[in-house]
Parts: sequence; C-alpha cells; structure tokens
Amino acid sequence: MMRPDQPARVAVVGGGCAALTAAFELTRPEHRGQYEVTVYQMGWRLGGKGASGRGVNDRIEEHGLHLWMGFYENAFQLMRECYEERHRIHPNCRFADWRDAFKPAPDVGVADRVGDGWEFWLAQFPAGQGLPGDRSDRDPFTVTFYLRQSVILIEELLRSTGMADESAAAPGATAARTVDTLLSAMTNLLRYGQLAGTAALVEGIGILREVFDVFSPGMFREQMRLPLVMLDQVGAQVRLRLEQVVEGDRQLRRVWQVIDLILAILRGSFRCGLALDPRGFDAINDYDWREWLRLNGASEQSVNSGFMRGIYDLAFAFEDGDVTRPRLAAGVALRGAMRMFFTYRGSLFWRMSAGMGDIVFSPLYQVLKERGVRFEFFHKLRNVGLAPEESGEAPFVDRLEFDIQARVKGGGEYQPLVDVHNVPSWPARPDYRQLVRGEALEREGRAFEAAWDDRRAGTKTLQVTRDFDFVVLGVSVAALPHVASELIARDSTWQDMVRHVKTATTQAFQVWMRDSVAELGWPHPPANLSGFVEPFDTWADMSHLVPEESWEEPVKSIAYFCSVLPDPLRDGALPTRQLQKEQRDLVRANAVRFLNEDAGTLWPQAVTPAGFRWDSLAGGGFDQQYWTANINPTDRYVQSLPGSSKYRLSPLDMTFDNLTIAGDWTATGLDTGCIESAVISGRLAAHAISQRPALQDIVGYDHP
Amino acid sequence: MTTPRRKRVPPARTAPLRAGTVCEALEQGVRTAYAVIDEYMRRGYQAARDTQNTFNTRGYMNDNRSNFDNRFNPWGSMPPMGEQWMAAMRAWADAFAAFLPGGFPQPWAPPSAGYCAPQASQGPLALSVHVSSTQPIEVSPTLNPGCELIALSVDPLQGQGFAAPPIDKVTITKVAGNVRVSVTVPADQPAGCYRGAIRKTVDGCIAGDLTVTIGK
Amino acid sequence: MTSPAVGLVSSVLKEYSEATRAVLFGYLPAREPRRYLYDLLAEYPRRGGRGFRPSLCIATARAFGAPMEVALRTAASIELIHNAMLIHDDIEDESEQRRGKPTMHAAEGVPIAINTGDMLSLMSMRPLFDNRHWLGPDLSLRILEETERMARESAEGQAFELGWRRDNVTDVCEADYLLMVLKKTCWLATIHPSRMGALIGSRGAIDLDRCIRFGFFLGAAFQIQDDLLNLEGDATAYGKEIGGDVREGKRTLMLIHLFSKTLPAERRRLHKMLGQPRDQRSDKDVAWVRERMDHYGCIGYARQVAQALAGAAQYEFTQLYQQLPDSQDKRFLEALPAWVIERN
Repeated sequence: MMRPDQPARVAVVGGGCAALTAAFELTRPEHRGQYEVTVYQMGWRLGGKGASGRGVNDRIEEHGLHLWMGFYENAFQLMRECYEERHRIHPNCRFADWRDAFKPAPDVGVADRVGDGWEFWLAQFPAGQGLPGDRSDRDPFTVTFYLRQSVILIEELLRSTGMADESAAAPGATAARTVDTLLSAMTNLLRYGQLAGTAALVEGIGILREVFDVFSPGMFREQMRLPLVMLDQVGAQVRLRLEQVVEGDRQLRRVWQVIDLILAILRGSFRCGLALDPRGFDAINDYDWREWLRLNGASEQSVNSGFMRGIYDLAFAFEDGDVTRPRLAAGVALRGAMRMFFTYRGSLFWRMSAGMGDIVFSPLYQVLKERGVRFEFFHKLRNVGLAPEESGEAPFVDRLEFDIQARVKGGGEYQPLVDVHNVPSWPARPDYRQLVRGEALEREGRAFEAAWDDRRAGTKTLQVTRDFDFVVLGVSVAALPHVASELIARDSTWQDMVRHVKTATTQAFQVWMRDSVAELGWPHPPANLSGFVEPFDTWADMSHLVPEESWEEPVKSIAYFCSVLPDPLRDGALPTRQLQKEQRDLVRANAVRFLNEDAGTLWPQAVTPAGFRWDSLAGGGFDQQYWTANINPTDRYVQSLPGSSKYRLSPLDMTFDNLTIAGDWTATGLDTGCIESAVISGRLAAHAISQRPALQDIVGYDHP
Repeated sequence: MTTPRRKRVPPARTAPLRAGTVCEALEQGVRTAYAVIDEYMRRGYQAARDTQNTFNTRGYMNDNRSNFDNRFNPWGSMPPMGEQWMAAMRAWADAFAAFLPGGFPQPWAPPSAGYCAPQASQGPLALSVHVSSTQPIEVSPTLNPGCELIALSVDPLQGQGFAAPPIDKVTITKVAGNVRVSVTVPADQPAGCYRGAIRKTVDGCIAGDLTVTIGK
Repeated sequence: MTSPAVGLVSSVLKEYSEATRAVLFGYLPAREPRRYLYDLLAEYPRRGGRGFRPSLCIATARAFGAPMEVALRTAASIELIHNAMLIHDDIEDESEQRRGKPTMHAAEGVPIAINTGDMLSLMSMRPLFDNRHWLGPDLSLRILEETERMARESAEGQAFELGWRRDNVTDVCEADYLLMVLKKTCWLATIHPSRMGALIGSRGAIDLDRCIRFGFFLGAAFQIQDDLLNLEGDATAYGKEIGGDVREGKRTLMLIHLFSKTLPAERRRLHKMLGQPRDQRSDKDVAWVRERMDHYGCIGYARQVAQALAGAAQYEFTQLYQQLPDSQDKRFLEALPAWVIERN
C-alpha cells in the first residue's frame, strides 16, 4: 500500500531550458523532497538548442545567437536564484554573481538597404528601471497601457524630428479632460476633414494620448468613430510627411517609418477592439504581422523597412526557412514588441559573458545535482508508450523507452563538466574515457546528438509506478512524431499541434579574427545587427568572449552570424548522415560567399577586390572556423506562424493525466521561440505536477 | 492489490488570462465567488491528499480544531482569488450590457501611474496590530490567504508553561476592510511565548494564529 | 423576454421533467397509511415545478452520449430529495404558500409535514438502488456515495443559514454568503446533477471535480435570481409571497449588501428588526427595508452580480464541455446561464 509520504518520481525527458526549469521548480526546498527527479538526456551535454561546447583552444561553439531581452522576467528570476544557490555550493566559481554572467548588451541595430549598399541604423535605448528578475508587484500591463505608451512614443519621435514644438505640454501637465471635452476637441480639429498642418498633427496626437489616459472600454461604446477618424487622419498626415522626406535624409525617414508603424498598430488595436477582447493580442493571430499593419494603413516602405525585417530575422519568421515567405503571427509579434520595448528592465538586450551552456546550464546542473536530481546522459528517447485503450478510461503514459547510447564505466553517473579558466563548461565532444568502449566509440565517429545515429549500447524501458509516476516531456515539437507517435495518434489536439506548430532549420557560423572590429573597419561601437543581407542577416559582435577562450595566437574579435536555413526536409522526415554532410557543406559555401561578397559592408578593411582576406582569420582559413547546419529535429527553431498559436498545447493540459509537456513550443502565453517562453513553460509544467509556482507568480503569463 | 497509479491534480485553469479592463461594479462579487470556490476546492484536495482518503470518509471540513499546523502555503502568494473572473467578465459584460437596468455600469476609474492593476486588492494584507503592554513584546499574527474577507475571532493565547495564565484580552476585528488585532498584556504576565488560534466566526475553522512573545 | 436560448431550455425542461416524473411516481407506493403519509408524498411532486435539477442530470448524461434511460433513476432520486427538502425548508422558513397552494405544514400541521419530508427523503434512495441494473454495481455505488456527500453539503449549508437567522448574525460577508449558497443550494441544484450526469455519461472516466465550478456559478446565479424574483417578480408566476424573504430575514445578497451600505443608525434598526420574532416584524418594517435596498442600489447590485456569475458559468461551460460533440443537450447546457438570468 502506498505510503502518503513517499516521494513522487518525475522523469524529465530532455535537458533544455524548459525541462530543467521544471526540474528546478519541482526540487525547491519548500517541496520537502516530495518530488524525486531524474533527467534523461541524449549525448553528453545539457541545453538542447541552448547547448554550447568548448572546442579547440576552448573556443565556444554555439547553435547560433542567443540574446536575452530585458523583459525576460522569469528567465532572469531563474538565473538569479540559480546563481545565488550555486554560489553557496561553489563559492569559488567565477561568475559568482549573476551580474558577472549577464551584462547589458551594446547597441542594437538594423541594416537598411540603400541603393546598392547598406546603411546601419543603430539605436541606444535608455536604461530601464530596475533589473530583470527583480521581485515586484508588477501587474500585467494592459492593452490600454501599451496604446498609451505608443502614443507617447510617437510624441517623442515627433519632437525628435524637430516638427513638434519642444514647449508643447508634456504628458500629464494639464488636468485630464473629460470624455466629452475630448470628443469635441476632436470634432473641432477634424472639421475640415483633414488635419491642416503640423500643429494640427501634433495636437491630434496629443488628444489621442489624452484619450488613452482616460480610456475605458465602455466609455467610447457609441463614440468609437471619432477616435478612429482621428487616427486615420493622423496616419494620413504621417504618410504624407513620409513621402515628402528628402531623399538624402534617411535618419528622418526612419523616424517617420516608425511613427507610421506605431500608428498602424494603434489603429488596428482600436478597430479590432483589442482592449476589449478577452483574447487580448491573440485576437489577431491569424494575420501575418506585416499584412495586419498594411490593413491598418501602414505604408509599403514602412512595412519593408530594416526595422521590420530585423524583427522577422530575429524570430526566424520565414516559412520552411524560405526568406521569400516571411510569416509571423500578428498578435504574437505585437505582444512581443510591446513587452520588448515598453517593459524591459535594465537594458533592452542582455548578453552572456561566456557560452550559453557555461552561463545557463552549468549552474543549473550544479544546483540540481546538489539538490539530489539524477542525470542519465546518453539516454535517447525512443518512444512514449501509452497504456492500451480501455473504454471510458482516460489515456495515460505506461512506459518510456530509451536507447542507451553508451554506458558509463563503473556504472556511476557521467561527469559532464570540464574546467575552463575556472568556469565549469561543457566540452564540444564527450569524455570518451568515462565511457565503456570509449576508444572504440570515438573511432566509430559516434554522433550522439544526431538524429541519424541509432547505434546504441543497450536499451532501457521505464514502467509507470515501478520506475516513474510523472513525465515531463521536454523534447522539442519537431521530434514528437518520432518519439510520441502514440500520443499523437490518441488525441486530435496533439495531431493538430504537430501539424500546425512549425519549426525552421537554421544556419550559423562563427569566425575568430586577428584584428579588432574597429581595425576591420566597423565605425560604430560593438553591436548586434539584424535585417542584413541573406543568408546571414544577423551579426553579433562577440569579442567580449575572447578572454574566456584560450588562444595562443592573438585573437582580437569574434563574430557570430546566423539566419534561417531553407528547409531541406519535407514532411518531417529524419535527416540522414548524408543530408547532414550536404547541409554543412552548403552552410560553409554560404558563409564563404557571404564573407567574400557582403562582409565588406560591415568590415571594409577585411576585404580586397579579390574578396575576403582569409589571413585575417585566426588559424588562417575558413576551415579553422566553426559553422553548423541545425537540422536535427530537436535543434529546429520553433516559429509562430499566423494561425498556428491556437494549436499549441499548454503544459497544464490534462489529456494525459501523468504527463506534462515543456518547451518554447507549448502554449506559454508568450507563444514564441525564446528562452523566456521556455522558462515559463517549465514553470507551467512544474505547476501541472505540483500546483507550484502559482500561476499568477509566473510573471507576464496573464498578459494581454 | 497493486499500488494505485498517481495522477496529476487538474489545475485551476489551463490558459492565460488576457488581462484587460473590467467594470468594477461587476468585479467584486464574482472575484469573491472565485475566491470562495478556489479555497473550497483547494481544501478538498488538501484534505484528500493529507489523508489519502476519499471525500466521503473524511469530509472537507476538518474537525480537528487544535491543529496548529494547519497552515498552508509556506512560501508565497497562494492565489486567494480565482482567476477566471476576468475572462468571464469580459465575455459577459458586452453581451449583457443591454439588459442591465440603467444601461452599462459606470466606467471604471482611470488607472493611476499609467497602468492598470486589475488585481489591486490582492495586494499585501492590511493587518494592523495594537498592543498594550509594559514589557517588551513581539506580536506575530499569521492569517491564511483569503481570510481577510471573512469574520474572524481569536482564542485566548495559551502559554507554553503549565502555570502561565492565558492572555485573554485579545481581539480581532475588521475596521474599514483592514484586519486589526488588539492585544492587552497584564503587567505581571510571565515572560514566554503565547499562542492562540484565529478562527472563522462562521464555522470555527482555523484561519490562522496569533503568537505573542513577552520579554527577552 | 424570450430569446431562443430560453425557448430551447423551456422545451427541454418540459420533456425531461415529464420523463422524470413518470419514473418518480412509480417509486411512491400506494398503500396504508395513505391519508397521513403516502398520499402526501406525492403532493409536492404533483404540483409540478420546472424539473430543473433532474433535467440537468439527464441532459449532461446525454451530452456525453448516454441514453436517457440510464440516467432516469438518478434524476428521479434527485427530484425526490429536492421535494423532501422543500417540505422541510417551508417549515424552517415558516412559509405559507408553495407553488400557489398551501405549504405541507400549513395544510397538515408541522409534525406530519416533518414525517412526510423524512419519508420522501428515504424514498429517494430506492431508485438509486435500482441503478445497479442499468449502470452496474460500481457506478451505482459511486452515485450513492455522491448522494450522501450532496446531502451532507446541503445540510451544512442550511445549518449556516438557519444559524445566522436564529442568532441574528448580521456581519455575514459576501464570501460567507457565497459559501453558504455553494453548499446549501448549488450542491443539490446544479453541482450534483452535473456530476451525476457526467459520471453516468462518461461511465466514470471524467474527473467530477471539474463540474464543481460550473455548477457553483450556475447555482449561485440561480439562487440570486430567485431571491430577486422574490422581491420583484410576478406573484402568480413566482408562486410564493412577494417580499417574503425580507420579512423572513433571509440572508440574501441584497440584504448583505444593504448591511454593508447602511449608516450606523439604520444598521441598528435593521439588526433590531431581524432580532424580533418573525410575526412581530411589521409591514412597515418590511417596506422600510425594501426602500433602503432601493436607495442603496442593492437590488441593482445583486442583479449585476447574478449576471456576472452567469457569465462565469458560461465561461466554465466552455472550459468544461467544449470537446463534446454538438447536440441539443449540449446546447441546452450552454443556454442555461442565460436562462437562469432571464427567467421570471
């Protein structure tokens, strides 16, 4: 007979962000050991898409570029708690404090095509109040708040164009006018049908701001028309200005483009009644964002500006990896943009002081181990088995089938970390000395993280109640048809999910250079840049990592490039060894061509008329650099295509009563592929099992 | 008989509440309703889990009055308020605005500080403690979430030693929605730790406790 | 006002309540003592009533795919318990009219009425024993256990209400009130019928606790609307004295709201009035209370809360039942929140 105080055993399958967050939550001291967690991970390292490894010269090798945003409240909370706990266990680690591990990122920018060349628009955002992850009574913001902030932003931008009088009343300077007064002010302003002149435009925007100051849904029930008309007229004036901007004044043009976009957002929010809609921003998720903005009056040039392209690039929002098919769900994009720009703390972007594996997954691993979590590396999930169907009975997971890719000598736990400059890190290859038949495995060229490599040392089947009580399925959605086919066959919501929640293959390369970025000819401060030319539209200057690596020859700068990769697989087939090689070669060719043809725009000194100066690379050539084609199912980036969000399933879903799911592919409220989404998902998965954390403690989960 | 298989407890809700503005006139009653049902359900699960019995053998109302360990949620904000009222409000308010006598309820007051706080009353519990004592004294009340809405009473505080007289000049009242605890300690009260249960007036069930430490 | 929702609900209620009554009367024996007991058992059921409770049970079971027959006995049992409780409620409330005729105790005297109520309660067990032929022993036993729980919750809820009245407790807050309604009204009226329908229809597969929220909100809206009708409804349609609750001092949402709004002097007067024996409460007092309720908008407030709770019920309905295939019964359930508010 089961004793009430026996702990529940939780099998966490997968070692990515979401899965480990769930493990972290379930093993909190407050649970008093009620949950016994074992993490099953294929290969030798944790991290999933966030895994990184140390290669030659301890160089950091990533899947791609991982940016942290200042609104990642849950992710930063997790990191801060983790670092504090890690410091108690290992006081002598470097990055003792989270602020050593995470630092405000430098300028961000987008690239605008200008004639035959490019121009870069860099922006500096003011420091946000506080730090991300600070505990506070922050309530979820409302749509009305965002709309109001948007209008204020427009006012500031107008002032920056020199068109608005600096002495115009600042927000809040005058007492709030009543609804009726505002309505008559609008009527007055619009009496000639058009806004006449700049002053009218500025006044119109001021009135709109006041409208949002006092806005409440019931108020304008009968009077919706007037604010909409005002928005239309203001929009028309802005478009006029945009067309009139002198050809050479690109800075001004960009400002008007942004104003144009924000107005389209306001108009669309108002028209679609987003402030009233119980679905919040989700109400417009069937539209593509650019399409929705166009529908609401944004001009073509704004919709195709570098700013917009940068957002699509960062989100890998190209269907099937095809850059001619940009597709991003409008509600998800709007929500992300609002949170990103209006709720960031500290800095808009943050970056990590070493590889993501070292910064995120080493401390998590250390803390979880100290708490008693067991880790089974080299365990590759084969199948999640359901109990046979019985009439009326709800389905449940009966067994978990694993391949044991390799066994550990002596039968103990694999020790995955290595020390690099006093930073516990993950190696780029497994430590074969710890493995049974290690030398043979190394000779055989095992690819433990590759979908195509099925070689194994054995199998293991876990049985419900005998070996586990609950399952946290933390493998990414693209892998589900291969490892969870029974679950999919059993339930139509799972079928819908795997059909509609799509992923993209990505490509990335990293170069180490002998010159500094300034010497290479980049005139601006270090930056992250997006919206650039395909195929490598995103560039990040990662020179701050040089001291973490162990270069004998002088290396002065590091650059990461990444973008989406056209999907080489159809219908979710598994990549073969041959395909993996072909894609890697393709990425190499892309990278070489990019360096030859386009890198000169960024680094004029790195190219000659003949092409890229290969001797500027450490090691002397491209082959000594690092590149990757991410085509394994679990490495695919999760997208937010229009119409797809509603098919995401929540970790709280009760279809299978002893299983929950975790990952940025689930319904997290944010519904995007990012670290914050993954951490929220992990917290939801923990709640699904333990009712903690309370849903309202998950910052921003309840958010328009 | 095989060991029964563990199952997940169904969560209170399975989707985010897309927060928005809601008519305050409708908020209060339903928010309270959600608080009541959430507390009711939670206690049911707690009782079932604690005893591993079904409802029918133990019942939801725990008769064990002297159970001072009947304190839940040691580490944080258990939501006393249910969450779906937001969605329910919006789904309903628009549809039925026409049926309400006198038209649509008064618009909700403009938000302060530029953003809306839809769960504003879910902030920190407003608890005040009024102490009358000639000795150094420390008073710590604990109140289970949600109980601030409910009529409360407090038992006389019993000391730890056998001979210590109880402190019975202790009251708990609600003043303008805040919970106010008053303790009067006689000058000759022996030093030590005294403790009494705070109860819900309506059924006598434990709602928290009051600890008073005298001296040191 | 009659919307399509109300029309659908009315016709389904008629169909299911007739089916239930047909089965129910089969369980009331015709033997001695007739004049003092068995004829009386049939009295309240014979007076009609909407059959809301049994219909909810049947419709839920059918929405899950069960045929009507397998739910009828449980539905009949629920209706029998409901009528048994009505007899006792009428005594406790000192009511004089029930469905347009004298209450049982007004006609037969309190002692016989108590005994009749007891017997009707016991009679409600019989159809549940017969369930084993329709549903098998396991489900039938579960239904019996659930019925015991429902009866217990109802008695606990009633205990609150009676206790508040007897001891003239006036600092009852909304949360207390709602908890009382949850136990006293909702369990019998909405939660239990839903749960049993779901139990029968899903053959024990569904987790019944999920029905509690829907039942609670629906039942609470139902109760508040009932109390509103008592103050304002059409006397002939309503079947009880108008304003009787005020005289009785029933702790309705309106009364609780009134207490929270009144000035100290008014509150004292109200408290004093409620402390008097019922027959000493004058018409003038009752009228004053009613007027104060109007003055402080208590009735409008309660109406809004009822609307809001119905909205919450509607929301819970979608959370709970959206996966079920479309059917008239599913649409009936979906229409209930609207009907609860719109009926008179």
